Amino acid sequence: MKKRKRRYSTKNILFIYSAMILIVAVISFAVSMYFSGNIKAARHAGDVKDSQAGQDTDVALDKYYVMITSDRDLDFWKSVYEGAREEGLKKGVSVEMIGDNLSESYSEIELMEIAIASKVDGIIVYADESLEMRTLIDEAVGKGIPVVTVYGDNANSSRICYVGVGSYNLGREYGKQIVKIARETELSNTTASTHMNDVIRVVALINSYSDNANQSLVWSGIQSTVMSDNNTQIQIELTQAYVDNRNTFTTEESIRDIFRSEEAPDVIICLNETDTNCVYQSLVDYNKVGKASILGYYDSESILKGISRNVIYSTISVDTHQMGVYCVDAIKEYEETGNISQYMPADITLIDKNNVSDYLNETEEVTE
Amino acid sequence: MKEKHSRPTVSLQLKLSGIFILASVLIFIVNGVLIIGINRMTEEMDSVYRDNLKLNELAVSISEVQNSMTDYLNTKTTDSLERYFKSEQDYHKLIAELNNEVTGDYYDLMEKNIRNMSEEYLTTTGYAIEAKRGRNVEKYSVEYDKACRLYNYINTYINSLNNERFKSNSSNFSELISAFRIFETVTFIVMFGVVVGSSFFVIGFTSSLIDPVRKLAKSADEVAKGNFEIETIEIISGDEIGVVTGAFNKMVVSIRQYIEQIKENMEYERSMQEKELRIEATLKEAQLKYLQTQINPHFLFNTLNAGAQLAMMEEAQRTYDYIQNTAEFFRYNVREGNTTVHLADEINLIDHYIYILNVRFSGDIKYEKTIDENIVDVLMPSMILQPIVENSVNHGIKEMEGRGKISLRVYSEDGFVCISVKDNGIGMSQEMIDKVLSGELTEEEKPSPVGAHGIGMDNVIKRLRLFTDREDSVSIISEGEGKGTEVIIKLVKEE
Repeated sequence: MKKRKRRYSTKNILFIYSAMILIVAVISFAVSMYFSGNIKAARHAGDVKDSQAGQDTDVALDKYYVMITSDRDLDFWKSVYEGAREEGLKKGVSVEMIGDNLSESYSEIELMEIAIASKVDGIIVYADESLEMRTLIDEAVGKGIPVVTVYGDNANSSRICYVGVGSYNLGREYGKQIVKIARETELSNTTASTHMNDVIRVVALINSYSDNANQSLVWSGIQSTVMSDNNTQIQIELTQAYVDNRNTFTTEESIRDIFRSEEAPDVIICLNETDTNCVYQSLVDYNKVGKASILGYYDSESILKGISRNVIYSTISVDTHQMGVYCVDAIKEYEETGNISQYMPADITLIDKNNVSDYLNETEEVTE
Repeated sequence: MKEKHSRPTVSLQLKLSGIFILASVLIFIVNGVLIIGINRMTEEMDSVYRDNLKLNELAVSISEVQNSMTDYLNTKTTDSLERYFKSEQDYHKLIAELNNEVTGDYYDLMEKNIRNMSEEYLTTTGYAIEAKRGRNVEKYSVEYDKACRLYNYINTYINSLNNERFKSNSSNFSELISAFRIFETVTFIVMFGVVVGSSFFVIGFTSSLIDPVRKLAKSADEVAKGNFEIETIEIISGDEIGVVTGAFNKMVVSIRQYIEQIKENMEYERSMQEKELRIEATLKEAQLKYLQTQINPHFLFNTLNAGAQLAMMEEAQRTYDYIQNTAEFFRYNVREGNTTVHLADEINLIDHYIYILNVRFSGDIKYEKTIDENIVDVLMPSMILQPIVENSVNHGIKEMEGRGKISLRVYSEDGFVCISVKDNGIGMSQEMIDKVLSGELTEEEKPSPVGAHGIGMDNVIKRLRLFTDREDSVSIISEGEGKGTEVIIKLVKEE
């Protein structure tokens, strides 16, 4: 007992005490480090969440490209952007949908100005054939910023490349669908032994304010296909309807006007996602389901649902993701080689009720 | 001894201050670390809104640039130009702090855009100012328009970034707060643990200090109660307590030794005294035994009585008287327990004694007595007068061969009963008288007691003084050599 007591005397107690101080210091240091780490993580948690551009890539980001479009909320553009972003991450490029985080909504023209002033490393723009756009594209290229137009082109500008759908092919695809509808109508006429319809009125919705060469190419594609392929008794009437797309709500109004007119068309061709959705909704609202066929554009979920419900006859799906990838690749290649082909077409696919289930599942999976 | 060397010699003060300083240091360290932690957190919390602050500063600064430029383009005052240059410089400084790297973070990219646009903007405003000074109206209005557009874009960017940051920061803030709460709890637990642990060790340490003192106190208490048979206390440390304990141990041992020594001394002294006493007692016993073997008075008395009767039967009157007197003389001596007698008895004894002496020395001693018969009832110690008379006979008149004379007088004087025994012998010097009265006679000067009954004058004087409680109860008067001696005894007359 005494010996034990002896062991606890001064020197040992000092030792134990020092050890305790050390341990406590280490513990509290660890605790504070842990928490400061925790807090730092918490502090930046939101940032990481918001900036989808990944810290999850091994490639160091050293270039900054922007994508410019006014319809950022459409699935179509989201998908394009996603493709571009993913491709960018692989190649060390940070791609931003410019204007997304801004409190004001700017037009493509204004966003171009911003991008140029911001001295970005590359611009991907949904262009039109306007003079303003051409000037800005030329200015950008003049300042050493390569510009790629996507889906909408400005052919006369000094843009390095156009990535888009082959509009003539697109027209031909629509034409084939019209002829197919004509055949089906003929067939139903013969089986019903009553000539319900001898004429199919086809209306193509043309955006009046984003006038560019694409639409006319599509239009001529449709015309030539219908002309050459239609070997039925059915007469096909092709007309254009102009849709006012100057601002957000005019499109919808213009489309409703068409349905309100005396003679509603049998086939409506939509050349973009918004039009397709609007027509789809109007058809339901005006109780014209089954009387008019919609040839839609793009494969957003609502459009696919429309097909599976037999409201939309078919739609043309563009590989938007691929488009995004092509955009980034084009700029990257231009940076490296200084040379690039002027046109890069994206794949298009026809979706009708025969194959819609594949896409529906796919999108569902994606959305999930 | 070896242990003593290895013992740490740390003073009590150092130990006590050491433990308290250590405890304080411990708590200080823990506090410090926790404060650092809290500081870091607060910094993080601050930084949540620091970005917003920075952006606000940026917005204020660019509006100053814009205003001063507009002002200058409007008025062309030097004042506004100065303002422009100053604000331009400020803004330059501010945008230099903005991010210029390509990252995956949109906020960083926005910062980068703001920075680049601002540079462009400043260049544009610079051109506008230049053109204004050069009065190039067309150019400066074009540049001004461009600057305005850029100004709007930048503002939008700043506002948007501010908004976005604020949004994400707000969501971060709640997480920060909850982390902070957890940290608080952990802090509290750590502090509590430290306090408990620290108290435990302080208590342990102080008790290790106090323990020896407690033992010491207990031992001291024992010693105070008189118990010196305690164990020596173990010395644990070399501090003051250790020193005191050591001293205490030594003290207890020393005290024990002293007590032992004193006891031994006392024992020795007592045995010595005992021995002395025993020697004395045996001497007395020997003397007594000796005397007893010499005289068996009863036997002698009976023998004498038998002789007296024999003399009477043979009708030898004088022999009878002689033996009768002798028998009376011895009877007086052998009576038991009667130390106090009447004066008359003493006088009778003298009568017998003188008679015997006269027979022995054939009537050489003339004996006169003058007695006041009224006072012979007075009490006195026995065997007083006979030794005095014997003394007078032996030293006074023995050698006078028939001329010796002893006179005995009993009279009253000043309320005392006085007994005077006077001889006409060789007398005594005053020196001798003083010596006798003060009992300072040496053994050689004393007359041998063997001659008579062994009772010397000093014995008589002592007994008388004891009996009367008076120093002057005996006095000796002699007028010198050959002029005789008178011994006067004064007794208190009984009422």
